[in-house]
Amino acid sequence: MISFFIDTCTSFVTIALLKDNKLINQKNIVSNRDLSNNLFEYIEQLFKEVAILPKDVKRIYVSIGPGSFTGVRIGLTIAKTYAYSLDIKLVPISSLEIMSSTLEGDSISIIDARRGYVFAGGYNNLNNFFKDSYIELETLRRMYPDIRYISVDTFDFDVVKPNIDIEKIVNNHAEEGINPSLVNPNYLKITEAEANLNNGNI
Amino acid sequence: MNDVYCLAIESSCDETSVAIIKNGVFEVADIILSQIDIHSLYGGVVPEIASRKHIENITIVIDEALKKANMTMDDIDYIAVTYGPGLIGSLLIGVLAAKTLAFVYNKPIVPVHHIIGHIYANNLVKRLEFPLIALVVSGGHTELIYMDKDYSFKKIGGTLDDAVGEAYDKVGRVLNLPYPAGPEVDRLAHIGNDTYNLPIPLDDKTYNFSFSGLKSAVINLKHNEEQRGNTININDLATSFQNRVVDILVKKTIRALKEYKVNNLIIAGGVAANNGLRERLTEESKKLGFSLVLPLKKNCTDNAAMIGSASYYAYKLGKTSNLNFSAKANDELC
Repeated sequence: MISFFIDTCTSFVTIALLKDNKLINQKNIVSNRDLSNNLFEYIEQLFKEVAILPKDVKRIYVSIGPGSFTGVRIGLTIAKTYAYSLDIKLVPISSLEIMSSTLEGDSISIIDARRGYVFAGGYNNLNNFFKDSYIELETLRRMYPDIRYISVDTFDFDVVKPNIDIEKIVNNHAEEGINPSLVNPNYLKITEAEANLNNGNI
Repeated sequence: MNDVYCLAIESSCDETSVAIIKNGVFEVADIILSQIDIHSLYGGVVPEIASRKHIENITIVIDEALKKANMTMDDIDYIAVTYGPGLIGSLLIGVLAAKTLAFVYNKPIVPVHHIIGHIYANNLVKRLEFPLIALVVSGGHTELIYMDKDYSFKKIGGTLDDAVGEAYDKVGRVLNLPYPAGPEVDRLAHIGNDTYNLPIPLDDKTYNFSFSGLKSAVINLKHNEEQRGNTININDLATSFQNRVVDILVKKTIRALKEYKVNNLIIAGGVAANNGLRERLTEESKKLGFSLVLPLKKNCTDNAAMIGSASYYAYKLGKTSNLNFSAKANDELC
């Protein structure tokens, strides 16, 4: 059974094809401003190189965030439309869990959310021990001063760069999958306009 | 000749729309999911919220369109999508969904300019006859376009500042009318009388338009009257404003028809739904004997049916694309 994997939530973009949950092709793309325009160039190559047809795919694994709002939507729009059009199951996975597959044991995956905040989630062999959150970096560091942090972003402390293990992630979610129209981004943050409206500032 | 079926997607602002169009002229299905009730809470479209709604709804709307047409993706000959101009985050959802369908089903894809779509909304009423002049009036555009054949556009004039729909929105906001203000100003304009002395917008020998002076005059008039303790008659102010706008739009459009020796006029864009403008142009067309096509009101606001109609003529001209085209927030038609 052929599966397609896509994660565009951070600047470390990954697309992959698996056969019976074994990796058969993978591309890591350093995200750039044009990613939304030229991503299909990479996707077309990914399929052609291993002679897989788009319609051969029976299952799609997608990262649903958190991350850059636009980045989250790029991969998820493709995944939702793809799975919908073939009437196959879509498997939503946390971007932070995907990053955590880099290491064995405890780690916290973080994504810079600006203004001193990060998106953070703690995992141990893909088991969640610190729920994906939008949190002040200082607070997080006080809670977990000695843990290993994984991130594509640069901070004033050491972080491990992600080197994700797609087979491990896919195996962890092999039994899941839902109607693609029900899968939506996990932004972990409401828009500024909504926050202002809630605070009565409009 | 075989029938050609297009699945078209439009998501440039706050409407998620998918249509299936046969041979460029027949609406097999046209589904429009509007977010207007959400954005009205904020007094205008919030781009990030619009993007969030588009991704929630996109597959649901595609599914509704296919079900309504009683078709599957295998019955579709090619995909069309609005690539711009519009809100970039909103455009991206439609563009990526369209590229994905084209990729999975190995179908040709036609990127369509949003304003070309608005022009071809008329083609769904009556097959366009050439040469023609198109008066494009919306929240982002006020333009006079000359067409001698399908998919050939020559701009003969445009706005120098605010688009006409923008002026309506801003005037509406000052008059405390609910968003979107255009239809409400139009309604009040039909109740009131033309009593306020407002300036005539850019009445010169060009085909250009300028509405910022008129807009500022309305705003200043309201503030000045309020400072003097006088109440404004909103209906009369709406009538006076709308008359100035319609007068100059009609005057320059008629002159363009005469100078370019064109007998066919079409109007396009959100403000093409304005009753004041439709009534005046209908009168003029009877008086002067030119042919006038008015788009259906439902196709004046953003919709995928018009994109599907326009794309058919691009498709026939071989204007299909690979999957690397960009969504563009800004893009001049010509």
